[in-house]
Amino acid sequence: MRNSRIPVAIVLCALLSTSVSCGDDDNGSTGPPDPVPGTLTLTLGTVHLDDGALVLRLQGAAISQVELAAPGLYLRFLEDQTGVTAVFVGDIVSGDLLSFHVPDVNRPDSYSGTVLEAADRSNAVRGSLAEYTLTVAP
Amino acid sequence: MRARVAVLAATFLAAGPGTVLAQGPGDPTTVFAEGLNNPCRIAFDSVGNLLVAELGLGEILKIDPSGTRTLFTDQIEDPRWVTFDAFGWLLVTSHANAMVYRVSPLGEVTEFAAVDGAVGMVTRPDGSVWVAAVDTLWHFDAMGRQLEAIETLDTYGIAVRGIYPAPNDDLYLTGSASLWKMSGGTLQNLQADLQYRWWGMAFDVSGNGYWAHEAIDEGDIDRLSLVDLEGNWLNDSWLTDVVDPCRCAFGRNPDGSTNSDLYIGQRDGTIVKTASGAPLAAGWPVVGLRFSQIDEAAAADEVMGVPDLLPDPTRVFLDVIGNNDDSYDVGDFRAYLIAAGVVN
Repeated sequence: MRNSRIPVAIVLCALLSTSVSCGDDDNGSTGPPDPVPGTLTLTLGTVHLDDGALVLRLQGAAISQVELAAPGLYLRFLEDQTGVTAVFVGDIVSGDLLSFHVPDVNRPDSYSGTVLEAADRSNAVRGSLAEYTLTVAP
Repeated sequence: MRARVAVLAATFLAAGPGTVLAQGPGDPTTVFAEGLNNPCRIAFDSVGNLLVAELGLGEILKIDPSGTRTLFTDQIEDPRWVTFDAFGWLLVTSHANAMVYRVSPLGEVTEFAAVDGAVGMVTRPDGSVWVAAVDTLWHFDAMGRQLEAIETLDTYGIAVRGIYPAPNDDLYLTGSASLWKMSGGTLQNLQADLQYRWWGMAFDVSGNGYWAHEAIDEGDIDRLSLVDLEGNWLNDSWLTDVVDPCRCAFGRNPDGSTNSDLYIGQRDGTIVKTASGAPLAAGWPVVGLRFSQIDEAAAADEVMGVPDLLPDPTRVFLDVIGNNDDSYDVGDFRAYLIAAGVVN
């Protein structure tokens, strides 16, 4: 009768949820962790050794305090309600590109980046963007 | 007595009693510079200095608004025509080398394009450059890559002596005795079978063309005549206080805007300017787009997808100096930032 214990536990937990923690939370609070405002970083991965410019879109809510994380690059960005569009120019390599402030650093998966356009250092536009990756992490 | 005053006096005396040489509304003139060799190739830079290619001396002089002269460069053999490109560099034709050179503000000389027998140049709003040779019009992009060539002598029977921009976006070509308009790559004859030696022309923003004529026939007079955009004579003797006029150009202010001071180069080694109280509109800029006029923020924002921030000629120009693939993109923006010195 092993399975029957689980529903009983859930029911008990639900009944007691106003005063008793049911998860691993050992700090005595209830529900999900409180949001922790802070800074996330957008990191580029590229197989190319001659990237000279790129345009990217960072998608996610309540992004603020966008700053360049790669010294020496030119950056200009536009913010809107759903994210940030940015253009970078310079000798671009794999590594951190941007840092930005969010309401909760524990939810980096709420943010995603996409390379929209890229050019090499002879100013030729890349025909494929498949070999670029953008990751968001604390 | 200055030479032209002597000529005017002689003309008056030759005309006999009862006839007086009419003064045009552009008269009188004042001397801006004298003692030059042959100041028939002149161009104003973006801060109001006048560049003069001295025929036969191998020198290009810079004359500031106060009249002070300095040597700009003597590194180009047999310099002839001069004009500025969209980057603010001086383009100079070398007759001896059949070459158009670019000269940086610091005097660095590089090749722009090979042209034999160049007699005129003009920079267009998209940064492209037309070079008139006697028998052919050459069209180059802002980087000196050839776009097209129009055989004017074989096709139209015109030996071109100059090429000039006008506010209707057409180019005007002068032969020694004719005037042509080029619209959409096709030439249209406006004036033909004139007396010889119609030389340089400059348009104002209203579309009036000021055309220099050097008299060689008996009874003819040196003058600037006024024509409209269709080549119709508006005033045959708009200005007569000149001697052997060969070129005219409107001045520029320190902020780069074109003003209403009309300068006339003369074969007697003098450059005069009209001091007339007659209304004179500002000149139509010889140089179209200026590189420094491009809005960096607009160029960046448009490459990020904000539409229609850049004027069409600017978009075309940026593509040309970039990857030249018929669309404005991030590679073009990179080329622009490098050319502007924003990034290395």
